[in-house]
Amino acid sequence: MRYIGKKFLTLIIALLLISIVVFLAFSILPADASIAKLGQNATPERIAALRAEMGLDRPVLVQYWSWLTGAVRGDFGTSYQYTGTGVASLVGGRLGTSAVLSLISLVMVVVISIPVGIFGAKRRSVAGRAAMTTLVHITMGVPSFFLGILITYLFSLVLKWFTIGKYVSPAEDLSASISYLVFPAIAISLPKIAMTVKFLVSSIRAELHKDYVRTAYAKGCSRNGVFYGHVLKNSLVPVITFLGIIIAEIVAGSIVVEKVFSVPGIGLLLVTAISNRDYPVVEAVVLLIAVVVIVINFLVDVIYQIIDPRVKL
Amino acid sequence: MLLQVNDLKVEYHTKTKISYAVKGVSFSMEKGDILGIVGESGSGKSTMGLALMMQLPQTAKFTGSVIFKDRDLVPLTFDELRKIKGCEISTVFQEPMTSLNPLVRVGKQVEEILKIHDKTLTKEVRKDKVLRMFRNVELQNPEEVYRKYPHELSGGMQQRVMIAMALMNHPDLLIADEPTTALDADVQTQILELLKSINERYGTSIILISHDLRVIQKLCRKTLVMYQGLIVEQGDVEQIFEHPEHEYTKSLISALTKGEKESEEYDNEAMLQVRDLTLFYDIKPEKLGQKKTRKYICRDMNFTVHEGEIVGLVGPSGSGKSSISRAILGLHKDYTGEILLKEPNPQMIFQDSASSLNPGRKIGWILEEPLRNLRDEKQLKRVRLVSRVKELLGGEEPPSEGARLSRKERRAIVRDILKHVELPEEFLGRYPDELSGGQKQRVNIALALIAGSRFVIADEPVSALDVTIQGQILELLLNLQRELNLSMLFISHDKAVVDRMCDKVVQLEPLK
Repeated sequence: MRYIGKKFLTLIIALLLISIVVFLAFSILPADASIAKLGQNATPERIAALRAEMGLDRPVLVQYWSWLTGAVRGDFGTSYQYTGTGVASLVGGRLGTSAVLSLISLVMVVVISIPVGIFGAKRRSVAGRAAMTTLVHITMGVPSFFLGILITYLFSLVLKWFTIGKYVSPAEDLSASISYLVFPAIAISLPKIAMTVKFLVSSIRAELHKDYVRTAYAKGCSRNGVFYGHVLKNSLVPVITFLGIIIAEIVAGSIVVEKVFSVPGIGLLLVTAISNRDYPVVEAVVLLIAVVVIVINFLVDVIYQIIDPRVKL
Repeated sequence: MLLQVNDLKVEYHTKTKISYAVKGVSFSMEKGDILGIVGESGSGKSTMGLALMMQLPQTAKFTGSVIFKDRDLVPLTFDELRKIKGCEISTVFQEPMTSLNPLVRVGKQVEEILKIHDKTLTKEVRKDKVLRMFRNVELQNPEEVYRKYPHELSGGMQQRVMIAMALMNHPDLLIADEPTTALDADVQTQILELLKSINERYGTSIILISHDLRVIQKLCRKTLVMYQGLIVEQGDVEQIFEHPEHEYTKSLISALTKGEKESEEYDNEAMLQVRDLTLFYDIKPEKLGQKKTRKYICRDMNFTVHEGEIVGLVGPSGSGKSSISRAILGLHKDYTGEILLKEPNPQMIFQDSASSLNPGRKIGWILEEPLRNLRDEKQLKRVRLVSRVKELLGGEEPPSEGARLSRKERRAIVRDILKHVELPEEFLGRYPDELSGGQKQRVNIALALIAGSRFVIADEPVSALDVTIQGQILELLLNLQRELNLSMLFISHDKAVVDRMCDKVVQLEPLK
């Protein structure tokens, strides 16, 4: 429990630091939000008036504090671009879509890479290993957005399995939504699957040479008994930490891929908001992504401790 | 006849070469016997142990026959062997910590060996059997141990768990491969006694593999001596001790029976004086408001190393041997009391001979390095005096090249020291990798002495070496003591080595 408490404390501190960095990053930008809203030709008086109205003339610390207290309550101000629309509702409406997309990607990574990794680690022939390594390296090297383009071309234009742009939100029809999101999920997860496979294979191979494996054989364990009863769990311990990183990359990867597949998630929202200098939205989305990544890493640490009894502080 | 091994050969096939680990070995053992297999690393004893356990890696090819209870094990398939392993033949390994699965409670791990060989047992019966066996191997609080993870147990307890596991199915043969090597001396004795009582109580036959003749002597009546993949001698332990026939056995035994050094009384000047030394370290508070706690390593140590004297520092791990040496070197600053050194900068010789030498440099360069950077005038004078530079240069006045040693002087000193550690001059041009363990340790000794130090701290200097090499290095250190009037603080866990080397022994006990 003490370990978890300690981790939780660092989680809070990390979140605070991130909020500061995110806020500062946007307040030191030369192009002020008021200029963004009024255009380059606006008169200084109008700009000053708008700055006062938006509270941009207050000291940075005061601005940060009001932004932070608002953020904690879920109030991120209003969007500059969609005037009058609250950032929270703007983000909230798209959050579900992105969450489903990330979840499908993650499930694919776990469900595919663990069996493939086990299969790969058991290959003993030189040819089998070489084929495996080549495939893994090629898949790892292809960027998600390029995969996205290939997938849209193959499955949408040639095979016509889905129509690009005809997205249904999960609230409306979950199964229809998923059957569309599977394709961007493949684009996101395929390189991650390759990485996880590679990581798992080397982890398993390292474990196979440990002394306790020899002990297990000396006990009279069958090959499968040794592998599934002893080796696999030990090999998965480092993979759990690795998956924490992968989840962060999935969230980051979805930003670009949502654009390619025109999925109206927070990634697409972020890309549009950046090009429109819609700072409240950008701040909110960046903060949200950071929070998700940190919270997931916290969960990973907790799971890690449950699995490995040696991790105790 | 329980076990009969005929002409067993093991070869390792790698891409580039075939190496022969065991070159045709035959022996037999009766039921209820304890048979020792002794030899240094590389003698093939461990490979043979693995072959008897049918646990050789796949790169190994083996021929011959291993007849166990009238059945040849060599042609058996993996699944046929599985029924024998852990049931009729069990094993205990050297490293109890890594030999247990770190993620599984030890009780469960021990239970598994029952589950594999008898699927009809219920959970309760299995647990009951495990607890009873824990009691038999003298584990305190079996219920508690049952629920522990391996890292929560001490080395001795882990090894008891391993032994309990090996005994669960009442095997006919127990193979113990260096079962006590990783343990402290007193725990070693306990484990050996446990093995002996198991043999007496259950009639379990035991094969004990060890590099340590004393371990073999304590437990076995019969032994094989292996050397370079062959059995060079076998028979009664006592007889082998009294009338060794093979050269190798003789050197093994003479290394053991060198006996105690006649201790001399020294009352000349002290090289090192330790007075009322108390070592501790402070543990930082973990929570706010908590006070820092002080953990003591050792208390009120008093000893003196006189000029030309070798003082042994003995104790189990955790008793502060290494911390004391660190304090003398000035690396551990948390102490009270006094450490008085006659000469500054005492030098060290470590256990691991390889890692102390820069692998990218030649021996000559490595040995010259401490001399190259000498700038201090007083030290220069001392080095010139101690290493008798004038004499080395044939009476020639040392060239006074500023405030440094000239190339000529450095070369002369290095050559001289090499002679002292009995290494040929060609070694100056070699890299550390091209030297054997014993040769590297000689270089380390030379390195410790080169800058004129005549007091060294030797921290387990021979523990990583084979018995015969050990003897040579110890002999060298004794010679240096005589020739150079060397004083030494000799740290070791090995009582026999200390008895042979030291004029005086300081015994350390871990603090409660």
